[in-house]
Order: sequence, then structure tokens, then C-alpha cells
Amino acid sequence: MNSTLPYQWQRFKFTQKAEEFGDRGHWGTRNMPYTPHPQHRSAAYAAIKSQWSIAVNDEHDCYHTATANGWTCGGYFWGLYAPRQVPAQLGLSPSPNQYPLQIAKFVGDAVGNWHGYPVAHWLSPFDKPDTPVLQAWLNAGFITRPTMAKIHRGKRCSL
Amino acid sequence: MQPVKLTIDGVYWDSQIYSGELLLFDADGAVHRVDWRAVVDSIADGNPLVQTALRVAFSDSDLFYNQKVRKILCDPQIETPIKGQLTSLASLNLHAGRRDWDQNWRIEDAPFDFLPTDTDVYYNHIFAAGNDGLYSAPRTGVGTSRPLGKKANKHHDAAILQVKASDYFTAIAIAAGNDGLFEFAFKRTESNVLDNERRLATKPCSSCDWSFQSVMGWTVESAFLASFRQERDPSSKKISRIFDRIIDRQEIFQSSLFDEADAGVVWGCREKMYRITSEGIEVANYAHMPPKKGKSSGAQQTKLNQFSQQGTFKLNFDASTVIATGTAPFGTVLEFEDRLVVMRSDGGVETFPGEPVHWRVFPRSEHYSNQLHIIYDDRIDIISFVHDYFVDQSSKLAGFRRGSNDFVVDEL
Repeated sequence: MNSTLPYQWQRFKFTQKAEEFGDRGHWGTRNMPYTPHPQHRSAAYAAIKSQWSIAVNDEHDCYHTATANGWTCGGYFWGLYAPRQVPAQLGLSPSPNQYPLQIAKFVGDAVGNWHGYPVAHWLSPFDKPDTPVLQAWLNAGFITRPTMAKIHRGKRCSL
Repeated sequence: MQPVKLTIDGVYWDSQIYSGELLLFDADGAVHRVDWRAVVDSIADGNPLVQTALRVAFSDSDLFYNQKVRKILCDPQIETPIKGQLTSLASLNLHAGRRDWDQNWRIEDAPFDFLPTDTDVYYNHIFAAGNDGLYSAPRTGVGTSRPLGKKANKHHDAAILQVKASDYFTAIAIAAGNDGLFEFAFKRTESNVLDNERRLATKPCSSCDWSFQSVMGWTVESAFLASFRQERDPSSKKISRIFDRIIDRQEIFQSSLFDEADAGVVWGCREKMYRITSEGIEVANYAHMPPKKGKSSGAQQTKLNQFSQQGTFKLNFDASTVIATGTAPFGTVLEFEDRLVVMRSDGGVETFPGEPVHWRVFPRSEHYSNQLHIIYDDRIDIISFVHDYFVDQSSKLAGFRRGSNDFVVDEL
């Protein structure tokens, strides 16, 4: 993915390269175990934590797709749920707003276990993917340039 | 009176217009530098019947805000042909590309090695904000062959969404998302041009703009004014800018029964503060100077008089889905997912269909404050609003008041 970036943005090195995680297509199951976090599937936490609206299997697929494609930057993986090649809603922001969300952020813990949650990229700069991931999504046709610009600039949009 | 438009083909990420130069940043790390004055002159020379309208619309917007010129403009024998030219210009399809302006167009490496979230140009320095912080680099003049500086200075580490320079004090404000709102003093004579970093508010802030000596900050969910007051030192007579307090949106829109459930986006620039409600857009004016002696009965009175409710303008569309806003003399701009809407200062509404990559207005600019730049996937539209010259500046609701002496900047 890095080779498709304009030379100017090469400075954004991916913090975790594919080869560190093992063979392509097996990262999520072999070297990077994924465990859904129960607080992101709990009505009791819906006021403070975003909630997945897709099935647990789809959450796993979302993670595996992100790792398989190397959609990583800043130590996180960033996922989309696109069963028909078009990004679809994968979760809701905390109540009372409950904005529909289409981007997932995956974080690893100290022992290499990973979990993820839906993010509202316009509510926190830490919850928006950096340029290389957005460029990869643009190149793959998941987002348009206007959408990429909105995400990068922290503006609310649907993908 | 319809706005006039000039379309430039190409794929761009951001634009600035400053001191006779149009700067077009692309997403590949290059900046296209267009000698704007020369280009406008060449277009005017090619269209002699609308040459005055062209110059006023695209390169000398300050002219008709000058009080002396306005008096002349009110002469029907002057006003009629000028309006005629502006009307004719609005019907022209002005379209160009790099090849058309090759003599006045050069491409250089941008001084920044990242894709900016926002840019600004201030005292011949280009500022760029991004996920990695705030940077600046010196800008060379439009007529020189010297390229832009290769090395950028880093001023701040936070992920930044907007950078806004002040037209009232030499200062820069940045909206740093969850980290809040910051400002820096701009030091023209020092190599590291930003100094005296100050965190004005810890509240979330994704957008900001200057209201005279104060700074307005907002997100789609909340808003505040970082209020400063001006005090004159009795001995030196020098005016000091002193931080007052953070003012919540409830206080700004005090006269309405502020209903949190009906509290839409709040934003502002200079004296104008706006709030989207289910009724329309509510307008309040911010008085940045205290009442004159004899008209105030103390600090509390001053506070109460700081905001005056101007009214509401009704909308015939749902504004609750607005995703970004901006304010200029010609009106206030609302961005939706699929279009831009300009609420004009003369009461009109202008809609620009299509999803933009970016757009910007230039409220601080002396010559270009009537321009709206909209970058689409394959072009930039430079739209000039010419109606505001003929609007009473003191009574308008949409857009801030434009006077002839607006752009006098004091040192902090």
C-alpha cells in the first residue's frame, strides 16, 4: 500500500508492517488473536461506549479485512464493513446521539490481543484514520475524494 | 444580483489567495502558484465590456466598501452601468486551465510533507495544520523566482483541525479537537514566528474563528467564546488584550429560552453569532468594545450588553444535518453532505449542488473577502459575491459587517 502513496506522504511509516504479523490472511487468527470487547455490545454501556450493530462474525471479518489489507497507522488497524463493496453501517455512537458509524478502530493490548469498536471520526481526531489508510480506501474504491477530505478534516459524513 | 464564477480545471486539495497570488495545494505534495493579479488583468483585457466588474469581483473587492467610493457608487449614473457590468459578468462562463495561464502559473514542492487539514497565510508565512501538528514556512513574493522555503517549522504537536489567523491582533488560533482551543502570538521579527502558546479552552473544538479580540470555538455539538477584553494602560496608553472568561452558547443566545434539545450548531465570526434551531437560524451580535462611559453601570452591565439578539431568519430546508459552517461579509455558508448553501446578506439563498472536496472563505482578507472557493473532484470554482456592496452593512443578519477600516492589526 505504501508504494501507492505520493512521495510526500511516505513519512507516515506504518507502525506495524505486515511481515511482523505473519502470513497474509492469517494475522487475525494466528499471531494477532481478536477478542470482541463486551462493553461495545452492552446496553449498560451504550451511553458511554459506541456499540457494534453488526454480528460478531462480521466484526471478526471487519478486523481480518483490516489486517489482511494492512489498513494500519499509528499502531491501530482501521476497518470497514463492506459486504457489497460499499461501506455500510457497523455501529452506533454512544447515546443520546446514536449516530450511525461506518469506521471501526482496532487496538492491541500489551500481550498482543486485539479488540475493536465503531468510531465517530468527526468527534475526535484520535478516531480518524491517517492519510495512508484513507489513501488505501480511496485507491480501493471504498471512498471518494470528497469523503476522504471530510474524514481527514474531521467532518461528519457517510461513506 | 447573481454571484460571478471562474472555474479552474485541475485536481486540488486546498486553496489560498493572498497578496495577489492564488495558491492551489494538490494532494501530491505540490503547490500551484498563480499570479492572480496578472490573470485577472488578462481576463479583463479580453472582456473590455465587463472589465471593471471583473476587477472588482475578483481582485479588488475592498474598493466598493470604501466609504468615499460608496458615495460615488450611489450616484445612479455610476451605479447603473456598474450593476449592468456585474449582471453581464454573472452570465459569462469563465473557464480556464493551467495551459491557459502558463505564463502566470508555476508549480513547486509544498513546504510540508503531509496532507494538511487546514492552511492559512499570514504575514507572508504559510501555516499548515495536520494530524501531526502545526507548521509554518516563509512565503516568497509572487513576482520572485525564489521558491517557497523547503523547511517548515513545527510549532505544536497536537492533531489540529483548523488554523485561523486574526485580523485584529497578531495571533493565530488553532482548533485541536479534544485537546481544545489554543492560540499563539505571531512575532514578525523572530525566526520562530509563533510564541506565547496558550490553551484558551479545554472544551472540544473542531472549528474556530476570530471575533475581534476574542475567539469563537465550536463542534457540531457545542460552542463557546474565549472572551478577551481590551484595556488601555493609563500611563503608556497602550491597549492590552486580557483574557476574560469562557462564555457558553447559552449566554450568547440569552434572550431566547435556550432549549438544549433544540440546540443545533452554533458558530460565529467577528460580531455575528449564529445558532441553528428548528425555527431557522438565530442571530446574535457580539459587542467587542465595552459601552462608552456613562452608559454602563459596572461589569455586570457590560456582560449583559455584550450580546444582542438580532432575530431569526427562516429556512425552507432542514439545517439540522449541517456538517460545517463559515461566515464572510457576503453571508454565512452551510455545508451539507451533498451541497453548499449560502445565506446571503441581502436575504437571498444560493445553493451549490455537489459534494465538495473543500471550500473556504476569506473573512480576514482585505481584497478577497467576497470570495468563496469550492474545490470539487476535478476543478475549483472561485465564486465572487457582488451583492454585498449594495447592502446596508449595519442591519444585515447574514454575514458580518464590512467597513472600510476593518483591517488594522495591532501587535499583541
